[in-house]
Amino acid sequence: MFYKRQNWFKGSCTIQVKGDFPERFFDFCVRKGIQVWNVRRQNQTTCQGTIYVSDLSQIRRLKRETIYKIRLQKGQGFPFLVKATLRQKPLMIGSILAVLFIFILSNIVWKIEIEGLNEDLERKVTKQLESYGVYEGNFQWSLESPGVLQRKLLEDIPELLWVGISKTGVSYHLEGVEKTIVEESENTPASHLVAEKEGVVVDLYVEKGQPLVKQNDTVHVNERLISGILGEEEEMEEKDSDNPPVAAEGEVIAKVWYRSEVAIPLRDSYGVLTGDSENKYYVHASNKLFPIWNFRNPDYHDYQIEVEERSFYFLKWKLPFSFVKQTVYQKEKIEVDRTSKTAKTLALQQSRRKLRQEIGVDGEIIDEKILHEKEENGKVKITLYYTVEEDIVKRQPISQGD
Amino acid sequence: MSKLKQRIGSMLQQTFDLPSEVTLELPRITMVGSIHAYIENHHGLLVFQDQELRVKVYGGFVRIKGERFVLKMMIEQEILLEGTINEVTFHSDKER
Repeated sequence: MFYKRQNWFKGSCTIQVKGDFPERFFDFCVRKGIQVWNVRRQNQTTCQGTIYVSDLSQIRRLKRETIYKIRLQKGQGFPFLVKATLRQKPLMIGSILAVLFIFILSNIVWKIEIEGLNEDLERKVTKQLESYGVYEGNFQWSLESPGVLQRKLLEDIPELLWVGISKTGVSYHLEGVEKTIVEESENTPASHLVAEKEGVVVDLYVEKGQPLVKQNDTVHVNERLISGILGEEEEMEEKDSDNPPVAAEGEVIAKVWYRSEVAIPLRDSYGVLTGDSENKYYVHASNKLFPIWNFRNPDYHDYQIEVEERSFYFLKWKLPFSFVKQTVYQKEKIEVDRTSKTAKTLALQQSRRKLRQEIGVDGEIIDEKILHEKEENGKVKITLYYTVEEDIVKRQPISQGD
Repeated sequence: MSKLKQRIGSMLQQTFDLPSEVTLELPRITMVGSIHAYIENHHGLLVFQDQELRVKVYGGFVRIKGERFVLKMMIEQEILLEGTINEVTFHSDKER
């Protein structure tokens, strides 16, 4: 059975052949391998048949070899349907507008939901979000990513303990947890105060509890400084409830020694941003960047690039292209040659800063001693010894003995 | 010479039981009632009109008469005719 269905998608067209024995033209076509169907004799000299559009050029060539006259009549199938649709201008314009409209609407913030916060805080969050541009009706492409917004919100509203922002399509969903300021409970469990570091006691301020050390005593790590048990220890073990253990309170200022080693190179180089920058804009599609604005490369010798990417949405789908903004910062390499003297002062500053981080603001540096100083391999190495006075207490609960 | 060829052909066909249209180059005409006629293995279209189809075959031609003829399909050596078929006649070259 040779009968095949014609392929509608290929598109076919009807031709009319004029001349003596017009059917022989079709026979001729068939011999050349052109498929013909629906051949109909109209009258003595005309005959019509249908062929594929793709065979038309071959038909034209064959026509030249014969004496027949050929007229194209009409086309059917998909290519003609497309052509006819494209010719309908209002329809085309309408559909393009519709797609554009949907595209624009899918990139607008439509809804912001806030959950888990009280009214007052909610209003505050809404206002803060508005200042970032997150409000109903604004375009999404000018907004930062939820992660960045989250961080910013937490920074700007101290009352928030945690906030989670998730974006689903055109709506933002916020979930917040309010910071409840927990008042330090008055009845901390009975505890001792023990030494956190080794040192020599300089001063003692005991508010509650029984001091176990005196001035100029040397204490070791975890040695008990102020006891939560009043009276004799043995009494406690006898479960005498006359003097129940208390939470010891107080401060023990002790001299503590720190040793630190710093090495500062005499020759140093580091990069500094000069403040000069240039913005470049790209469209990112299929892993390639297509520049759309600012084509020239800034003539910075050394530079640092920061990339910001924004994606577009159509309904809920992320479109395969995005907008990329690159900021190119000029960088300058600075080389410094230090004398051993400046290196030394720098080393001192550095180690002091490091120490300050460790002891906090309440500690006091009393003495600073350079134990050892040497210059080797282009570096200045200094070993320092610090004497610091600081509070060394640490809370240790009294086990009630199960 | 051609007669000898034909005789050898028919001998071959009888001994090996081959389909006759292949060995003898004869047309195969399949009909569906009187509305369709598939003609295979023909040697060319001679005449096609509303009421008549003439196809060249080996050693002559086939004439099909009827009404409202349409060639539903044409591929090389194959034709599908649609219409009301009244008669199918075979004619040898000598008659012409």
